[in-house]
Formats: sequence, structure tokens, C-alpha cells
Amino acid sequence: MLCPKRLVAVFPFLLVLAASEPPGITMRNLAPGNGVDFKQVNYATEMKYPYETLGGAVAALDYDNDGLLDLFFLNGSPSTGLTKTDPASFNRLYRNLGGGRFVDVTPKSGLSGEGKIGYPQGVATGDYDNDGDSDIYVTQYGDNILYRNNGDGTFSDVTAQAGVAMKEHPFKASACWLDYDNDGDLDLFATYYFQWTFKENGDDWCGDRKPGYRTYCSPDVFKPLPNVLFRNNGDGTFTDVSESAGIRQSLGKGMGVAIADYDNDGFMDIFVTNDKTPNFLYHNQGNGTFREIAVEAGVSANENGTMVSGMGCDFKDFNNDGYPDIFYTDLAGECFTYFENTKTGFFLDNTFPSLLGKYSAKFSGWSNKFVDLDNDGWKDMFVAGSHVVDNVELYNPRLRYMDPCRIYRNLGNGKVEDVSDLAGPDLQVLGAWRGVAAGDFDGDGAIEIAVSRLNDSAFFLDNPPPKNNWVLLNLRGTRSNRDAIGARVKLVLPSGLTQYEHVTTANGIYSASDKRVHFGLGQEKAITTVEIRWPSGKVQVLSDLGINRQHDIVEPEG
Amino acid sequence: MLRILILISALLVAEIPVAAQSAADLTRQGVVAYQAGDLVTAIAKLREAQKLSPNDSNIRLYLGLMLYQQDPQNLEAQELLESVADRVSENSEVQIKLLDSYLATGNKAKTDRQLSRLQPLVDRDEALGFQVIYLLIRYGRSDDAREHIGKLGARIAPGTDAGPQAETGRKDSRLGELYFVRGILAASENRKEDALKNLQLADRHEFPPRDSHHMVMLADSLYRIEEFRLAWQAYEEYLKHNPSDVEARMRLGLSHYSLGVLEAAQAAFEQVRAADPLFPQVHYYLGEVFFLKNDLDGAEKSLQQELRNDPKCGPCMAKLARVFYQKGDNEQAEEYLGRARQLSPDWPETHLVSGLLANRKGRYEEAIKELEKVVEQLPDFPTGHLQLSIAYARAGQAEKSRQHRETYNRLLEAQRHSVASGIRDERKPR
Repeated sequence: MLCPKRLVAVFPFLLVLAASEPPGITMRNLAPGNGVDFKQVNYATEMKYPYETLGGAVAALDYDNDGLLDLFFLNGSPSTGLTKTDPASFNRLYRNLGGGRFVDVTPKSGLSGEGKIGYPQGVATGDYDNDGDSDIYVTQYGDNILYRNNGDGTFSDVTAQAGVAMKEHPFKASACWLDYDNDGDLDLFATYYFQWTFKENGDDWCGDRKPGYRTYCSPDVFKPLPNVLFRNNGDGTFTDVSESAGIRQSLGKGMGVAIADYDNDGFMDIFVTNDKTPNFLYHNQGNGTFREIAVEAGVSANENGTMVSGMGCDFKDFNNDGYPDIFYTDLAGECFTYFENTKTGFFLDNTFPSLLGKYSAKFSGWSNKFVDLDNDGWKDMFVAGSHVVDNVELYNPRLRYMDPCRIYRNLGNGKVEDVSDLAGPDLQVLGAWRGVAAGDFDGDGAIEIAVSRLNDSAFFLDNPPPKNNWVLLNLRGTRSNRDAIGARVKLVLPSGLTQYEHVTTANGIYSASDKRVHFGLGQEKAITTVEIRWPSGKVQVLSDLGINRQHDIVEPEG
Repeated sequence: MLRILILISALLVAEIPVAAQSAADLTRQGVVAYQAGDLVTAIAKLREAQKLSPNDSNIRLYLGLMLYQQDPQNLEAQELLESVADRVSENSEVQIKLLDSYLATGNKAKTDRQLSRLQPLVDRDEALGFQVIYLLIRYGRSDDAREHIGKLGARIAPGTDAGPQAETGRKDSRLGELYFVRGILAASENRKEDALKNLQLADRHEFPPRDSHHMVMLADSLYRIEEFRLAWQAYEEYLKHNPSDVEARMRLGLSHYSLGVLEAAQAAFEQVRAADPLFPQVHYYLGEVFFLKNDLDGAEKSLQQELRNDPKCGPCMAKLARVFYQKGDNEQAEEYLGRARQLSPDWPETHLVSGLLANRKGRYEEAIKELEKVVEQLPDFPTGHLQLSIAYARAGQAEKSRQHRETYNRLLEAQRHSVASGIRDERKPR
């Protein structure tokens, strides 16, 4: 291993980054004062139905194309009939008014879910019909729902027409939009959790048979299921291609899903964290099929091969080497995992060498995201904390249900530092945190994060205006899908530092984030080049882009 | 110890030779020291007394018993007890200790002779018969134990072989103990089904009593046949009445550890460590627990402590190599691995870490060679198959990779079934 001094000698640009090192990351909750007054209700019962402790989805999207990121939260449903009649169970859409203010626009939007049957779990955002606005897909215990954005602030339920309800099994978890065949429209990938029905499992009792001790069952009790891939037919309908695409053959207990082109072959690959079963890495073979290669790639499990409660995942280039890495969360004692992409098609379990293992061993996590919170040019890790089992303390006093959220700062040398304790009092708040949606909500170049929590108010974690420079790229596909999901962006700075990002909205578990590409630039004063490899295969190189602003970039025609 | 104390005190009161007053004084002082729990002083006093009165049979008896208590394998104790054995031929306590001494020193001829000598006593005393059987089982004299059990069975439940047909529905502790010795004999021979059947029959007769020392024999037997969940319950029951039995607590910890109940295992090992920091392997197993809990710093600390206690601990070296490997410190991992290779070249973890390091460095053929040894030694170890599958895949041997991936998945599935049934049967949460 190179010593730091030698690293600097070999890569002089590290000096620039070292000089730009910020004093720290601090975040402050602005909700509900900023108008985001969402409070999730999970309608937990003594029956301990498993979906009650899951869910808590949140999405950051600009649903009205006004240039400001809005927020959409999913809510629980009463277990009796799983029907949303109680207003407290409604989902909520908050429109960003600018100036740090949000307003609840749910009634007009048609997204409340009123009268709908099912217990919402996850959300995926993407412009599946290429009409220029973000549509919303909701996964549920029950039939999933596709809401088409009508472009006038309202949404329509087009699930039946689109054929994406996923009726085969009731229990779904996360979903994401991607253009797996690079044909210019977004396809849909969704995970089933496990086989659980009221009829078969509603009376399952786990835990001691005494008052207060009934608890949520381990997923080990239930049967695994395959995931689902829908190909967009381009006419508002989808075809389930799971079988022919090689997705259906693998059985798991899918939780989080993230996408990236891990081998840079121009096709998006899919990573799925499974709960207590091996993870999946579906390698896109470029011919409409995938091959599940998690074992040989080294990401099916941690190095010891032990099964963990895989929860949220993200799939981004953590070490700025041009190859996406993987980071996922699990429960206390298991350690969050970091797999470094070795550029050879294989990954190394660098959980402990990165120090993530050391810092995370005591914590449980749900949704997560690679996000450069201090704009120093290195993506940090954000985790929504909490255990799954709300009475876990009864069984293991060393564990706790509610955890704080965590921030692991990327030190730029393959290691992280746990800066959570210094990130402000709001980062110390214990909660049953679940969803994570990140983005630049106020246009100041610093990334804010909305975090949902069960049976409590969501947080809107504001990130103060950055001391470091930044740039936001809003990509619009023409030949490629309009959201440009899957586009790979390479940014080169005068110092030589190169960063890589790709467009995706999926992160963690149940969650969706800003589709714009964000780069922290440290103290660099300019951008040398930006190279975009669009999903269509077109490569576009831009130079002399200004810093500390957003650029809207359209895929060149022809 | 209490029994020896009573025995010595009783003998002392019975007769002290008048002709050797000074030796008698020393003997009394020795007994007082013994009663105060100071065995070393007691032995020293008795030795002085014996110098003054070398042929005094009482002094020889007391000294023999004390030396025996200190170490059942002590040949001097054996000789002293032998020298007075005829004089106390009816004393079953002394005779059984002499038998223990012969068994402990592996003297077959003397053991056989002593068994013959004991037979008349055993014929009159069933409790002594059971004591003989326990000793024979403990020292692996299964055939002798079986013979004695047969004789005892013929007296306690004649004509029935003491099977379920001997059941009358009422509790009978003699019958219970008969099943019990059969059960622990079967366990000692790894006849699991037979052991469980007899131990369950014994339990119907409420044998062993929960507060008896037999509980630890029950626990040890269950541990031996890998019924860790039952063993854990038995050890816990036993330790309620014998909280200072460090060995039993260690095995309680090992039972938890074998079941993957790491918090409880850690608590038990920590209690052992507190009671006896030099207890063999306690730091090693604490290191294992910390490792499994992903506390690599804790694991390193414990393993280093075990190495201080036992510098030749090869498995400690191998585990430390794995700790450093996991931390990404290949250099330290290699260093400890080198020492592990010297001390325990064929220890599975030595091969595992060799394979892991080779895999990490892209030396897949070498990794395959090492990991094949791991799965040969530990065919049910999922990690070995996973890493082997990775190595084969990366070496371009897809079919071999697939085979080991399937084995890995099958082993995980088996573990899941075990956990799943655990959740339903034992009602444990996630």
C-alpha cells in the first residue's frame, strides 16, 4: 500500500484537494418549518405484519419542471383492508416554492393514494414516456402503481394500461428506471421481497409468547422470489421480459436496487441487495439479456460469505477511478459493506480496509447514498439509521431499534471517517429512519437530504452553502431516454483530478433522488472538460463550463 | 474436596497413635491447615509428620488423600494409598479414589485388580456401583462400564434391560440413574440417538436432580453429541448451583458459540476470563466471537492475549492473519500466516487465509490449491466454497466455480432452514 506522501508524489493533484479540505460537514433539519410537515404512520399491529416495519419511501423530483426539486413521501396503510381512507395514511407531494419553502400539493396531484389498496413500500421516478416530466412508480405490499405525470401538476394511475402491477406475489420492495437495452426509453426493474400472504403467514408468530414480545420474523422463515424486468414498449405499455432477459432465474429477497455500468461496456448493470440471501449483480450482456454474476464478481456476500440483512445500496464511483463501486447497509453487528471495483470485472471487499466496517459495526441502516456532501470532489456516504425490529432491545439489550443517521466522509485515500457526531445535533436524533432522497433543493450547490422515519416527522437536512466549488449538470436525452438515465459523465479538472458520475434516480432502498449530476470541485476554479457518454452511445465533450452553476445539456442530434 | 475433608477429619478423630506425639501434632496441624483450605501447608505438615513416623498408616493415608486431591495422577499419592489399602479395604471412598488414580495414570493391570477388589463393596452399595461406572466412562473404559451397567441393571430392574418396558409410571431415581449412565456412556461413544433416548428416559425419573453434580455430566454429554441447545440449558442449570465452575462456564460459552449466539457466548467467555485469565483458549474464543461480530480490534486484542498465554498457539496465529487480512493489512497477515504455517500448517484457517490472500493478489491457482484443502477439511464451511467458487471463476474454470457456488448456496440454505426452524421452535427474533 502506498503511503500518503508517496501518493502525493505520484498524484500531485491530491495537494489541491488536501488544501481544499473543508472543516467538516454539518446539516440542520428545517422540517417542518419549511413546509415539509410529513409524518409517516405505519399502522403497526400486534400481529407484526412484516410490511409495517418496512417502507417509508421518499423521492426528490422536479415534478412540475420549474427547476426546483420537489418531494414525494409514501405513507403506511391501515392493515384492515390495506385501504387508504384515513387522511393520516395519505401519501404527500410537496412542491418546492423556492426560498426554502415547500407547500403540500397532494390534493391536486392525485398522488394521495386515497381509496387505493396496498401498503406502499418504495418509489422510483423517471420519465418513462419521454414527454418531459417525471413519472412515479410505487411499489407496495399489494399491486404496484404507475402514476403518469400529466404535465399540469396532476398524475394519473396508468398501472392497468401499462401492465406493471406485479400481481404474481404481493410483497414488493424497491424499483428503478433504466434503459437496459439503450433503445431510448426507460424500462423498469423491481424487486420482490419474499413470499408472504395474509392467508399463509398472517398468523405466524415470532418471538416469545408473552405480551410485548411478539416480533417481526426473520426473512429466513419465508421463501425467496425472483425479481422482475419490464421492457418499455414505447407506447405506454410494458412487457415482462424477466424470463427471457435472465432475471427470473435467480431467487432472492430483494431489498435495495442500484444501477451502474460497472464494466464500462455501455450497458447498465443492476445490483440488488438481498435480505439474508446472496446479493445479485445482473451483468447486462448488451443483447437484451443479463447474467447474474455476483459470486464471481465477489459481491454476493462479504468476504466471509456470511449472510447479512442487506438493505439499501448505491452503485457509484467512490474512488474516482472511473469504475463504479458498491456500498450497502445492513443491521448492527453485520457492518455496512463497501466493495471496490478493481476494473477487472471483480470487486474487493474493502469494508474494513476503508474503515467503514469499523465505524458501522454498531449501527443498523436502511436507505443510503453516495453523495459529495462537502463538495471536495469525493463522494461521501450517507445512511438512514435504524434496526428492523421495533422491540429488538427485549431480545438483545446491546441492540437498539432507533439509530441516528450516519455520515462517512470520503478521505480520498480509500478510507472514510465517521463524521456523524460532528455533523450537528440533528444528526444525533434517534429514529426509525428509512428513506433517503438527496439533491440540491435550493440551488446553492450543496446537497440536501430528505429522510423519512416511521411514525414520526421526516427530516429535511439542509446543507449550508458550500465553501467549495461545484457544478450541476442537467442532462436531457434526445436519441437516449429523455432523463438520460445511464449517461456516464467524466469531469476533468485543471489539477488533473477526474471524477465520474452517471445519471440515475435510484438509490438506497425505496428511494429516489435528484437525477441531475452533481460534482464537488474543491477549490478548483475551472473545469477542463466534461465528457458525456450518452446511453445511445454518443460521446459528447464539453469544455470551459462555468463553475458554481447548473448547466442544462442536451444530447446532440445526429 | 468436602468429602475428603470429612473423611480425613473422621479418621483423625478416630485414632492418633500415642507413641508418636510430635508426629501427631504435625498431623493435627496439617489437618487444621487442610480444613482452612490451605492444601499446600497441609501437605507440608503431613510430610514432616511422615518423616518422624514413616510407617504410620494414618499419616500415609492422609498424605495420600491430599496428594491425590492435588493431582489424581500423582504416583506418590497412589503408592501411599496402596500401602494402606488393605487396612481400609471396607472404606469405599478410599478404594474409589485409588481406582481413579489407576485410571488417571493409565495402569490397566492395577485398574483391573482394583475393580475386582471393589466388587464386593459394589455388590452391597449401588451408589458405589454408579461411582465406578462414572469413572469408567470418564476414562473411556466403555466395555467395563457396560459390564458394570449390565450388572447394576440386573439388580435395579431385573429381566427388563431397563428399557421403556421397565416403566411403571412412578419416579424411581435408581432407575433414572441407570438410564442416565447408559445415556452418558452412549454419548461418550457418540451414539447420539441412544444417548438422547436414555437421557430422556432418565429425565422422566427426574434424574439428574437439578442441583446435583450430575448435571454437569449431563451437560458435557449433550455437548459431546453436539446437542448444543440442550447442553446450554443443562450448563445454565448446573451453573446456578455451581457458579464458580469455570470449566463448565467455558463449555456453556462454547455451546452458545457453536449455536452462533454470540452475545451469550461472549458473556460466558468474559466471565471465565474474569475468573481465570489464564484459562486455556478463553482469549482465543473471545477473539473468535469478536471476529464474528466484526469487531476486528477486539479480536486482535484477545488473540494477542492468548498468544501471551500460549506463544505456540498456531490457531491464534492463523486467526490473527485473518484479522489483518480483513483489515486489508496484507503485510501483517503474511507475517502471522508464516508463523501459523510453522505451528499449525494443516489448520483449516491457515489454508483459508493462504487462499484468501492468493485470491486477493490474483494468484488463483494457488488460491484454488489452498481453498481445496479447506473444503476437504471442512466440507460444510460455506466461506470455503464461496471463495473457491470465486477463485475458479476468475481462473476461467466456470464449471468448477458453479459446483462450489451451488454447494455454498446449499449450505446457506441448510443454515437458513436451521435458523428458520429455530425461529419457529425457539421463537427467536431476527
